[in-house]
Amino acid sequence: MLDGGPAVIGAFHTPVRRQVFDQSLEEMIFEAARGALLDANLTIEDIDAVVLSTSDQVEGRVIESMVTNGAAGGVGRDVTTIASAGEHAFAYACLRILAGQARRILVVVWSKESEGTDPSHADRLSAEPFLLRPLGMTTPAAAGLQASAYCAKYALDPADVAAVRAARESAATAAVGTTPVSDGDAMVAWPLAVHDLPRGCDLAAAVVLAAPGEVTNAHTPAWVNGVGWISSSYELADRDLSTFAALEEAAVMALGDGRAHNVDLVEVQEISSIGSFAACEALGLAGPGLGATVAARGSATPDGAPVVNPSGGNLPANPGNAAGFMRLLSAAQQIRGNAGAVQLTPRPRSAVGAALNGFAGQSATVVLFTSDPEGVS
Amino acid sequence: MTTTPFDNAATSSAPAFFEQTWDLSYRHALGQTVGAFLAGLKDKKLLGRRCPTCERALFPARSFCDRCHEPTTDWVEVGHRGVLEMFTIVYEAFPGMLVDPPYVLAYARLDGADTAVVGYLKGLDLTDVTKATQLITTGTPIQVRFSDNPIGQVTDFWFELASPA
Repeated sequence: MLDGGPAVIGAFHTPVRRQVFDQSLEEMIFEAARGALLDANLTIEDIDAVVLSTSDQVEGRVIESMVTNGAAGGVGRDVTTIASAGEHAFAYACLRILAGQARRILVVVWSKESEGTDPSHADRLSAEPFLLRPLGMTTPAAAGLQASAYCAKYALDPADVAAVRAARESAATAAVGTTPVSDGDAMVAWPLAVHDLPRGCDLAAAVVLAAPGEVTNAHTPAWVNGVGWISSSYELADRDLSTFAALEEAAVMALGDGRAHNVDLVEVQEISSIGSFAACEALGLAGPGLGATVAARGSATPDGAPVVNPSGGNLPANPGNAAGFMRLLSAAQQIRGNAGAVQLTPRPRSAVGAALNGFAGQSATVVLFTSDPEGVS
Repeated sequence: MTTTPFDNAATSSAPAFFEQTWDLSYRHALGQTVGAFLAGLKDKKLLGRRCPTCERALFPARSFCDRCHEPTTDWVEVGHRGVLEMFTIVYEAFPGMLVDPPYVLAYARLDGADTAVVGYLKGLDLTDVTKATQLITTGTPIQVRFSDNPIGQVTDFWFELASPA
């Protein structure tokens, strides 16, 4: 839990598209950075520091931050780059403000995987080269192993899997205009088919984080009242893949009791449809093996339990390195009342954004946003 | 924030993409421990290392235990039989792969090892995935098979469903 944490006072993302062919990556980054500044009623001159997150191999630009620095507003400014994941850039920016190193930070994150002619092949570079890469370990294969381990431990109703797919698809269509894929039933990594796995898209996104003294009446802030992130072993064999231990631990760091059941909504990154059940369980929304009872809860909740992924989450629209960051941004935008077509009413007072990265959720980040700087009792 | 519309009419003759291919090669240093593990495969030996703190036999061999953050000390030769811990069936093809999809990518814990190792599970008829997946689950006994001429790579060995001991 944070004392006097920063607030999101501006946010923007470029439209969700499978392939952006009429803008260069640098133009997308520029658009996102400018959009977030405009939303915060600021200009680049008001920014003390810029934090970026890149995924070099995907876009084919090594030490990408050197190339994209200018587009993100980094010229003449303190720029740092986080290579691990977009959500880590957000957490790092929070730390810098808490440490007094900056008053206003622009965080810019992106993914343009369509620039690679074979994104799946590039994904294999994520695997350790001696023992995993020769066997074809990839992000979808790891998600398949996670889903298979979950299914081996708990009885799974195919109707529950279909329900979470439908809920995510419907919400994302409303939120960002995605359309279902035509070959959804094609198997990728048993038990997961195309429509069970995150579908890539091109996107750049940015937020402006400000210290408490910089938040004015002109802003509608989403206060950061808790942040946690942790990594578990890279070795899949050293983890129980039927759960996300890192997500459980990050939730404890961010929320105290590790349970997101008292907030108004949860935006959580999902490695697959079946993976959404384990993610809900790790956030304390349901007991072991019972995640399916809450994962598809995308609308009204008469019992006061949180809505899960009202934006549709990352299954229909997964901008690689920015996928986790977008869960944080989406949660913050609900607090700010800026969630567009999927804005919840009444405006939420508390929201959790949760992100996973690495094979089968090796590491996790959890952020608690509130409408009140002191949090929600 | 508004996005300036892209003027297709004015730029319809402009190129949209700039294509490049970079053919980069790497020569990764294995380190002594993984090197010895891969050398052992040529003799059809499965070598692990024991962590002195948690006493787990880590297989494949690792030079350190990332849980305890301690260097491993003793070599451990693990058995050629074990049990399945988890699996998936992969339907994607990748350049340079030695098997054609679909194939079973599985983790199995071999006798004498405390961690599972990844490999292909071969010999399963995958034409009916429902039937195939009914034959295997967590705890299903497997045995290791080696190629006739192992060359010191992880693809030298694979798993098959165990025949009766």
